[in-house]
Amino acid sequence: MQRFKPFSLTFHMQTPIMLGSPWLMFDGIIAHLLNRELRGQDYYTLPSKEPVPQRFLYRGRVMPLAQLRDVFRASVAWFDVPTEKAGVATIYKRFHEADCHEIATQTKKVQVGRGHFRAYMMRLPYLPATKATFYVNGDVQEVLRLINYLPGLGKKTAYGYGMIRSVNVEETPEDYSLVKDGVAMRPLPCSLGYDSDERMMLAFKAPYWDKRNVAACVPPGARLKVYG
Amino acid sequence: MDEKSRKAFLLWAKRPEFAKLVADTTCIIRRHVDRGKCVVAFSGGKDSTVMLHLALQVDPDIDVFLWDQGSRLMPREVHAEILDNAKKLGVKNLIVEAWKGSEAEDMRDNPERWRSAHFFHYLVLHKVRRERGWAFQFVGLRSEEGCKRSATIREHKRKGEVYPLADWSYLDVWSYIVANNLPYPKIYDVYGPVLGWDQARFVNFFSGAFEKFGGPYLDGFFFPQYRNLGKNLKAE
Repeated sequence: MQRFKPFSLTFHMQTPIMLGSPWLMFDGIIAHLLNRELRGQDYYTLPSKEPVPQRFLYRGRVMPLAQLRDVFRASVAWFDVPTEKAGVATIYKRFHEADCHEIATQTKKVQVGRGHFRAYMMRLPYLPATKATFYVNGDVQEVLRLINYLPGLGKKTAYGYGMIRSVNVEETPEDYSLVKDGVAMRPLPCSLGYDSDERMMLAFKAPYWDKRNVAACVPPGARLKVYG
Repeated sequence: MDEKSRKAFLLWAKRPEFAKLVADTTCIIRRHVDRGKCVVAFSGGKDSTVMLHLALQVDPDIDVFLWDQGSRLMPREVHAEILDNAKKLGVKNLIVEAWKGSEAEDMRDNPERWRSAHFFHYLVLHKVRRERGWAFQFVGLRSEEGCKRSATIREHKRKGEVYPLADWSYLDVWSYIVANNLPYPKIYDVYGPVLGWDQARFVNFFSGAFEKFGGPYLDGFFFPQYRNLGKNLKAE
């Protein structure tokens, strides 16, 4: 029996989704959940600027997703509201003075203007979406098992954003994880032969914040050029 | 800009208080222009656009100084838009200066680079100022924008700087822009409706200096095409 199947995964949302980019990558979410499962608490003590090599994700079928070279067959989130409907909320991060004694340091003064304990007052965009749909080609059972551990979608889930009400899975007649009706469903690297009038320098594989994964891509939502 | 906001700003522009404010500001500019050679510090944002337009009404040949923040922080198409807007406003003497270091790869994330850029900005400005004999520099700072700016205006520590828009509110600025049909960067039309026209600011893109205010997150959501600037698309 074939392990990978094309399917769509629809998250019904309870609260708005906070995002730092218009695109939420499903393979990024799965890679995060896998890393957390495999590394345990060590995952949270990794040096932030120097991640461990992500090669293990691409070998031995660790990821429950089909691949096209380095690109996992998983789309970005497609929301039921356009990005023009986005709002902005202010998030505060403050040093909690009551926990001062927990810091192992000789410093007598905690600077909140800069450094590790800097206070933040950030405006972050949110999307009041009620549905977020991902198109995936992968192992349904394993994906469902992993998303059991997902606290929510997007940023600031600890603040109550991106809470999930329910999840629907449906098999799709075709694989829409990369392209659907001639439109890119995720960043598609031009080096794989994809081309469009719209091109952007985007990360096309996890971790998406790592500049080393940036290449010329067709952005999600752009119409692909058809040759021949 | 949406029609509702445009109408509101136009209504504000018809108030006699607004006309008096414009007349008073013009008076301040004229007084300084009569006393010595002046320059307008132009960033391309809404305040400096108003500042520039008012100054050009008094002296059409006034010098205009633009500090280029480099392609990492200011995408070249936005920079071109600023230059184009200056041209549309009728600037004859535009002086554009830049610091080579601002093209460094870590310009967005390295606080040392930000400090150096700030230092070189003032160094170059003073050099050009001496060379061209500018006595006064018009800066579009407004007290309403924050405590730091308010203190800068109040304490007046920077010699030769004049702040004619010090008492202007965001309503005055936008009303002046709408009433005079002035060109402004398109970024305002994206951020204005989302953040509010009072909060929409034009500074730069993805600078780590504004991370504590969420700047890079907003830029990442609304302008993802500028996230990985510096890499050559054509070369790929």
